[in-house]
Amino acid sequence: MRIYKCYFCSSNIYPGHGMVFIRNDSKIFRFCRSKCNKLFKAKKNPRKLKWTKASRAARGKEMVNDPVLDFEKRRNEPVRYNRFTMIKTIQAMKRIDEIKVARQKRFWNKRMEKAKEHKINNIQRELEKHVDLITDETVKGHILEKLEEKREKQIDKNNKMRKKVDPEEEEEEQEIVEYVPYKRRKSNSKKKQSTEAQ
Amino acid sequence: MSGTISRYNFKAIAPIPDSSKLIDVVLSKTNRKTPTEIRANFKITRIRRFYMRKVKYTQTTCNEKLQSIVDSFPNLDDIHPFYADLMNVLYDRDHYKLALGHVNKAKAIVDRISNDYVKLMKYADSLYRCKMLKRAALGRMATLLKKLKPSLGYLEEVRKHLARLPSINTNTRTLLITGYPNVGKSSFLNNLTKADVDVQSYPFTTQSLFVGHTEYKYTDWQIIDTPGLLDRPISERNTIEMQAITALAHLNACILYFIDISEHCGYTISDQIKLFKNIRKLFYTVDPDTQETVVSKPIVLVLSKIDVTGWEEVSQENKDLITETAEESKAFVVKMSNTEKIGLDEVKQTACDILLDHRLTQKAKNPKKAESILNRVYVATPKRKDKVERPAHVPKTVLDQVPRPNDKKTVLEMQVENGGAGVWSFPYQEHFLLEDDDWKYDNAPTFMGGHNVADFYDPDIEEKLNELEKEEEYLTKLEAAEVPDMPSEMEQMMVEEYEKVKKKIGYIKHTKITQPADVTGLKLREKVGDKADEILERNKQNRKSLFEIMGVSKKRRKTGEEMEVDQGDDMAMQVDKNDMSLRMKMRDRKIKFAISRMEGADPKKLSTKVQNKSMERVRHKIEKKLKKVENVTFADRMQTTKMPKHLYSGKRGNGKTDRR
Repeated sequence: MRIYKCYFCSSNIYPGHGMVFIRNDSKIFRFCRSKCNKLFKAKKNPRKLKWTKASRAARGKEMVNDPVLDFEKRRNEPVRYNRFTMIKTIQAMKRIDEIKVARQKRFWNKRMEKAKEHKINNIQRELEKHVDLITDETVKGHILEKLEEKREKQIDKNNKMRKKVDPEEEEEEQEIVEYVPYKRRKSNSKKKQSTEAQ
Repeated sequence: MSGTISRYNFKAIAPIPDSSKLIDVVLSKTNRKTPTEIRANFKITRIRRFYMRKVKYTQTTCNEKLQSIVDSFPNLDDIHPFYADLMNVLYDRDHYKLALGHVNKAKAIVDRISNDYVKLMKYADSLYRCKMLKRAALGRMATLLKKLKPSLGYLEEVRKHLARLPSINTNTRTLLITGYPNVGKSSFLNNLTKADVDVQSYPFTTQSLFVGHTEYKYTDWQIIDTPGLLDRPISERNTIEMQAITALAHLNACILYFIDISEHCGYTISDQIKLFKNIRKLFYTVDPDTQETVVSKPIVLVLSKIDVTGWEEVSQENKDLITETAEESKAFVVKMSNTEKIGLDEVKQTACDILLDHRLTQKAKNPKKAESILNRVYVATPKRKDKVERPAHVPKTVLDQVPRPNDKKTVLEMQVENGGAGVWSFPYQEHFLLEDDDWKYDNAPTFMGGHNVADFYDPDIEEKLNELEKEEEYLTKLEAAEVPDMPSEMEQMMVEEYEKVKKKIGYIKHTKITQPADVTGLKLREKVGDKADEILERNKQNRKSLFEIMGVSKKRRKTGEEMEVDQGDDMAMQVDKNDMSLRMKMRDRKIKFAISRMEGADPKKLSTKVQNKSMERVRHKIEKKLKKVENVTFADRMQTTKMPKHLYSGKRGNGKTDRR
């Protein structure tokens, strides 16, 4: 009995679940459910499907290279059973899991640092839209200031644009250009005749 | 391997057709298998070819049929002399040969006829001539076949009789029973084998050879019963006796000569002995030089019917006679009784043994046989390669003859005690080789917390974990030491304010979606101008009243704008929908309300025609919907929602789709 990892989404496959596919080159593919199986058969690349762990790892959303993860690895050489080692292992497993979770949290926080900036900006924008609803005076004042700033910026921008446009308009005159027919090559005499007729 | 077939299959001869039938067959075949259409205006070569073909075809068919008849019959010179003689006795060799010869000759004549007429046809110059020639040819062939009638008839009879002959294998071990009629030969056969031969009190009950089969020393034996013989010279014998003589003469078998010592058959012992002496020429010769008897067939003198008269009751004369003859012919004497079934086995044994002896000696004398056997036998003599003794291995327990100790149970016994095969099985942990035997039956978990324990199992795990712990401590310290970016005061205030204002913003967004701007008002204004205000006001009022009457709770009908306005209204109670009168009211109101919504029109002001039609339609729709809701009781298997959202929406997690 073993908990396997789904080839496609990397989720746990408990005994009695999922399907195994063994290819002619004797490579084993385990799937947690028919969703993964069908996507695999449709030749989808798990790295391109956003919800799979493979894709998340590839995009840097998951913590991948950390010494905590080295504790859990498939050992091919069996070690003889020893009660004390087993006890220690089980106790260690719990502790390792805790450490892993803590580290994953740390990783996530680091990722989310940038979002804080965006959050503040979003809030500011919302308040700018609905200024009337703000009850607090200081905040209202602050927001109104910001709005003023924005307006001024926009005005400056508009002015600049207008300045650009005006001189061009004065200079340009409508030039009436004679239509010169496109010179055809000598090889096609018929076409030449037709254009000339035109 | 063997050149001659020991068992002939006379049953395989195909039945011979009657001559008239044969003619019919041949002619009809010619008609069917050759082309049938010919016209006078064809080329003469074509006509000739057509008719020649017919003649030739008839010839070949005739030949085929006659040939098959001749081939199917055995050639008397080629078969075993026993059969040849037997057939001679039964069917007369000359007659047989003549008949077959006649058929053969017919073949040759048919050939000649066809050749002649084909030659003639070469000179035929019209269709009519060709036709007549063909007719003549076929006619002559037919007459020829007609003349074969008696021969074919005879051959058919022969075939029938031949098929019914007993299948005697001339090569195998055989016992031949002979003697005077009524001596007890057929009863003996009946006793020894499964044969069911007629046994009657009149002589010549058995009129032909009968075969029975037995087993002795794990091999099959034939026992042939013959018709009784009378003491006559060979020229005077009839067909029935001749069959017996043929068998005696040609079959390599052990002869059982039956002597009836009770003389109930009607002949004295001396007569019987006399007959024996007459026919013994058939089975042994006396060497002229040495005056010794060379036994070609082993003989057993069987004294039958001892239940009637015992051996003691026989006169001394006869006794001496019998013993003397036996000595002379190197025969064994056995006494038996058919009715009392005494001595049957003795007879069989003696006869079989002496025949086997005889056959073996004959085979041994044959140098070719010995050679062929020796060629197939190879005796291997392996040489020793070293001086290591390799005796047979016998387990110690067997040598000591020590029985298994009682206190030690077998696994199977244990299993049976504990409930049987499916209930209990021997624990595999019993034979584990561990440092400490206490650990054998430890129930260690295979997985925990979604991980395989085996993946973590490591004797050095403690040390590694300690290292990790140190690292983790260090990292947490760093984390604690980090001063997080404190957001500015303004930002904090903004966040707080936002939390308060969030709900209101949500309301606004919602109303924009659910209750879009009053577009009808604009359109109405275009049409009617100033009167628009009036109409809109009226509609608003109507809507309000309807809501009130239905008694819909306040919460639902309030929008963000109207929150303050509707605080003072009463009638905000949940109505019992099962109230009939109210339901009827609701229905009517709903209809009116639906109509009033249509482009702000006053229902009273609509034309009666339009009103009725539109009202009807709307009423119909609403009634339909209400019916479903109205008439439901607890017992009804009504699906309130055909696709409940919680089952049909959302992405599938790590689960199955069979509950869709």
